[in-house]
Amino acid sequence: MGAKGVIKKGEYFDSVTLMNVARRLGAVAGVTDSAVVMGTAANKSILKNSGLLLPEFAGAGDTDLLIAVQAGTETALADALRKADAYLKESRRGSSAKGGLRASSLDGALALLPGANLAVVSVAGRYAGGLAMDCLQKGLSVMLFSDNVPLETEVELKRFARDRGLIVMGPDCGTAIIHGVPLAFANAVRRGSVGVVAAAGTGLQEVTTLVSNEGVGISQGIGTGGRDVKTAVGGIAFLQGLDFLAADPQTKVIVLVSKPPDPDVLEKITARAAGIGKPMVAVFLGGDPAALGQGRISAFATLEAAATAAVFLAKGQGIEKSSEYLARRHERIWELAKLDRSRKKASQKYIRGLFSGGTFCAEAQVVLGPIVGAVHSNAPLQGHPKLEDPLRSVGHTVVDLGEDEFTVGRPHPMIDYSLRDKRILAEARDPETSVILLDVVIGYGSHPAPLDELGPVVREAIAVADGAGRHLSVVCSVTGTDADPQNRSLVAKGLEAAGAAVLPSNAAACRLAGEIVRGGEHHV
Amino acid sequence: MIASPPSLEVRSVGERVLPGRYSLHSGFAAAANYVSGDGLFCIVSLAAGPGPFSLVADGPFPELWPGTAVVEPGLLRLGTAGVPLPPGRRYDGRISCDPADAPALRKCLIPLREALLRSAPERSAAFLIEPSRDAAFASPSGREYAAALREGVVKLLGPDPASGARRIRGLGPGFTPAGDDLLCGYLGAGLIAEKVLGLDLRETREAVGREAQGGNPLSNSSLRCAVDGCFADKFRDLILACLGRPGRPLESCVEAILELGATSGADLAVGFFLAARRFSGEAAHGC
Amino acid sequence: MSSLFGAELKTVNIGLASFKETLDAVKAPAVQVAWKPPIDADPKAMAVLRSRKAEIAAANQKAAAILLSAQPALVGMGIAGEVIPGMKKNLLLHAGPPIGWDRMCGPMRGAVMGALLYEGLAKTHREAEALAASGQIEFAPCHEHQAVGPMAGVVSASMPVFIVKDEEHGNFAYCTQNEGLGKVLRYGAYSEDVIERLRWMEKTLYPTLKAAIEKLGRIDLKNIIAQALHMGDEVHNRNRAATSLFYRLIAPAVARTTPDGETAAKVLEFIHGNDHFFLNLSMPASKAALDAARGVPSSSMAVVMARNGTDFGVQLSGTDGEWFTGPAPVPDALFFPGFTKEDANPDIGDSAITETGGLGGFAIAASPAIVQFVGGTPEDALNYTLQMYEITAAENTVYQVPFLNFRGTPTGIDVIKVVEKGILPFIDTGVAHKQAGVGQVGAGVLSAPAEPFRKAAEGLAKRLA
Repeated sequence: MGAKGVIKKGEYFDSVTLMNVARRLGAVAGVTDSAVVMGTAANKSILKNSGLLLPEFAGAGDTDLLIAVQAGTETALADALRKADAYLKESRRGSSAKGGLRASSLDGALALLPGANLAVVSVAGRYAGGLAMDCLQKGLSVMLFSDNVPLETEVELKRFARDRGLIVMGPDCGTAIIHGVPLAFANAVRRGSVGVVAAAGTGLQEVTTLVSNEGVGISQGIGTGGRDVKTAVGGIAFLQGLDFLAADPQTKVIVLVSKPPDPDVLEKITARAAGIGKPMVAVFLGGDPAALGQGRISAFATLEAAATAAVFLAKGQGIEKSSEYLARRHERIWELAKLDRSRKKASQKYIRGLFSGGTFCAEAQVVLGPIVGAVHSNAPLQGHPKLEDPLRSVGHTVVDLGEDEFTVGRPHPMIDYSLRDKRILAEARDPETSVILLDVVIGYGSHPAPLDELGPVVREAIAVADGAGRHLSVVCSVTGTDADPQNRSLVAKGLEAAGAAVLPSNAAACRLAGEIVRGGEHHV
Repeated sequence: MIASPPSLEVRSVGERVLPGRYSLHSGFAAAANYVSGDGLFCIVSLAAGPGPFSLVADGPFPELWPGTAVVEPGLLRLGTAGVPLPPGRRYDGRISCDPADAPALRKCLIPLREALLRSAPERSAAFLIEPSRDAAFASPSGREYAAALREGVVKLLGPDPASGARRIRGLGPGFTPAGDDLLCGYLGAGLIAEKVLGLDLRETREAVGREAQGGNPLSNSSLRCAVDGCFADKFRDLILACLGRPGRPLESCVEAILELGATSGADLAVGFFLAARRFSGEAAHGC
Repeated sequence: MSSLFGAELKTVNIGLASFKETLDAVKAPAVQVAWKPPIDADPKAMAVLRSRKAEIAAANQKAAAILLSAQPALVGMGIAGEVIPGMKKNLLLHAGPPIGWDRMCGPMRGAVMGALLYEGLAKTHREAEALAASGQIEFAPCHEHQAVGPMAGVVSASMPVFIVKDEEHGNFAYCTQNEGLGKVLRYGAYSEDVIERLRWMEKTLYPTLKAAIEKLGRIDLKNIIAQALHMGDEVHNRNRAATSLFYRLIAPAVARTTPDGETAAKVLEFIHGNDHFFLNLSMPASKAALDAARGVPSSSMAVVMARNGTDFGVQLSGTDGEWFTGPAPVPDALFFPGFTKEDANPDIGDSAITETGGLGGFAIAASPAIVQFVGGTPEDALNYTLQMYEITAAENTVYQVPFLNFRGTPTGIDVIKVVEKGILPFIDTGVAHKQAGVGQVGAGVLSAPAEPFRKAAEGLAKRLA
């Protein structure tokens, strides 16, 4: 039989599409030869030699697309060309579908996505409240990422939602994982039996990734926003989350994460917990676990400890096992610290912690306090002095780069590293710096290629100190999983190759930093 | 502005993106090419990486690319929307290298070959390195193509490279035909060989670059940049790895470049390898 | 919380697009809302308007019904001083909201000077300038005298005007004849050839057309505009089809009523050579229809959008003759070779009356050719029109967009919707050089500025409170 073909002028398809069309064409039954190529002289020559140069191709130019098919029967020919056309149309539709469904109003959105049950709102704070209320009135639960939403609005929204069996996660809620779907800044974690309610975004990220990295999974990760556990809000969302996890058949262990709740809210939480048969683990960061862990809730001082406890509980083992596990980790950390300690110059005395997540900065103070004493911070916990000038470190210093003084007018440090990069180098030049302590939070929403920036900066920092005869320790944690777009293992390996020590959790990294600078015998 | 492209954030501005008024040549889901006479610039996604005539942009790309784009200092007018071009983000794809890099260049050939053969796509030009791979071109027109490319490459690496360029340009599948990508790789290797191995290749490169020009503005711009030594980010990383510079390891650079297009990255890398090998031989044995 | 936890997660994302990308990456069903913040208006005023929502809606329906039922027709021509209400020898009408000489932009000043020279009130342009600044010349918006003028829109007593009547409601609207392209009065040129052309238009063009129109009795403008929309015009920036249709109608009458053939030929050639001739008929047609809809209490429908090259002004049906103004922006244009945004004058002209009446930028989906000229694609044109449905009170019953299955154009701008949705009226327009007399330097599109609409909404609230 002869060949048939079509020339497409002025329509452009990318190479991947062309390749796919070519491949599929070749696979059509009855086709003995086919070509999908641009109309260059060279390609026309090939087509000619193969008997595929159709007369209508003669005038084709370099940017015209030629599709030619050779087949045994007329029907096969017609079939193949029709399929080619369909594949190309499909690719066009594919690309506009990629842009995705787009509505210009909430009503329009609901028309496009019937059954929508969650709105993620990240518009400016002054509008966010009204918009969230519109969503609630339409029966959607709301994840309110926006901050600067007035307190009264938050209370109004949460009460309204609760009365209707909906939940408001936020305001200032940066992370949630519902049915395994990462929302805003979140990670790709295993599905499983540990449920988390968190009033802190990075706290939720740390706990869910630590649990996932130990091979156990997450049922739901519910965010509540930072103010939820204060008296004014009364823990509405927190309690809703707790109630849900208590009743959820998928959830076997419950983890609670926040700063210490106001006493009346804590009472409500404890009272609720009394009626829940599942093991509950809590970390109220900065509070005293002994005082806060009451009734059925086992409280821990760090996210790592709480997550590890949850892991062992989920595996059906006791909390003592998790304590042993962590104790062994602490031993290894102490060994690592010893090595580093021996290489320091006398002037190097201090830790400089530069954090992109506020929760981690708080956890650093919790971990370091007992090891090195009080540390300066721009976001100090009780008992730690406030840093006078957030741009200048004093003694042991841990800085939350996500605080307003750093973020006004620029993207969040989890996305834009430039400010931290500069600070790392500045600290490296300071002869008093012994350890630079970093958190690297990966996952959806965060910097797509953290190594590209951080790797060279870490190398340079170490080299700068080295040039002045100092051994600089760079200690970090990578919060994330291998399933995240950035791939935790790759990032960790890259940082190690750059000369950093990478620890499995923020608490572990802080501990190592503390042990490196602390002289004397080791504590557990 | 209503109905304008959603906000794009430009992360990198190639130094060959020149001011002027451009019209849309071709638009895709993750890229668009705008032309003005001889000139061209592309808007590409973060995944594609910086390049001398690329604007790397973050943010949802429009479903329908505007028909006109105007490049001004500091601002891109895309249809009716204004997209700032941040001053601190210029991409200059040049590489500085010299004879001190020669040992590394010679040493890289074996790992480069291995990495390519390990991961290059089935229908790429890698069959030029490993002949058994031409099983992928079993159809009559496929065999024609493979033979033509092989013949062209033999000429390209022979005493009259310009004739090889004439044979190869526009040849093969892809929006930028495989032959054009291969020639880019060749030209890149030629420039490096000139600086590192001390070979007198300027006329050859310019002649090949001239012969390689055709009717596809995207190919033309890539080829011109290759002659001038401004390389797109992924190609640049690959070359630096071949020169033994610290940073991303060679295998990783190969993986990254293989992601370009369907076979564009592979064809480019194959062209680079074949030329680098040829020039190293010439430098070593004078032939 | 069974709706959330008991079912598959389906997300509406409002805000940062990167969150939607994450959902796409994990293949979770989601839709992005292209949300715009509302315009920052006084919350108390907005509360008042919300509380009277039903009353306002009813008023808008009434005003829109009047607007849609108007039947604008060209019924004759006359000299401005004789037919325009309130016109005087020393009064110059201009485009846009009220403005004094000291605040006038370059093109407007040039047009004023040209008009004074044309009237013989000054002999040189220096004299004209001094006279204009002296206080002896009064200035008033065309809109306040039932008239409209494109670009500088300057009308003086001796200028001939079209007389357009809304035959349904009985009111009139007036507009001068369009001079053509290049160095013309409406772009602020005042040289001798400009004045000469104005004189020719007074002495030759006007009497010829006047006689022809009288012969025909009337020319149905609504009908021409409706047909023109089917032929690729939007009758603001693209008037070629409408001008052709008018030419077809008027030519036989001109041939019959003009004593000498050469004059007839020159007049017809003049019309033929000016693709925007019909603009000076589409504008008063819209003006007549909108003026009929004035004075409906509680109505938030706009009856005027107009610019004088310095300010952008809005009037509402429910707030009588009150002007709500804000600074006029510079259009986002494609400039002719050699010109840049630095050369552009801020938005100017009464021609936005076409958008106010559901034409021009609101009908741009009917005119894909225009959009390519200003740098967009036909799909852009579609989207511009589709967006305008969000802020209008009605869909036109006669002006239709063929590509939208002959859906009526979005007609009757509701300023409350503009403020609440943050969507501003879309105007496509020519751009003047900021210096008098240079002429057109580009064509472009712009969103009307927010301030006049905010003030209008607040102004209406004040009346209702």
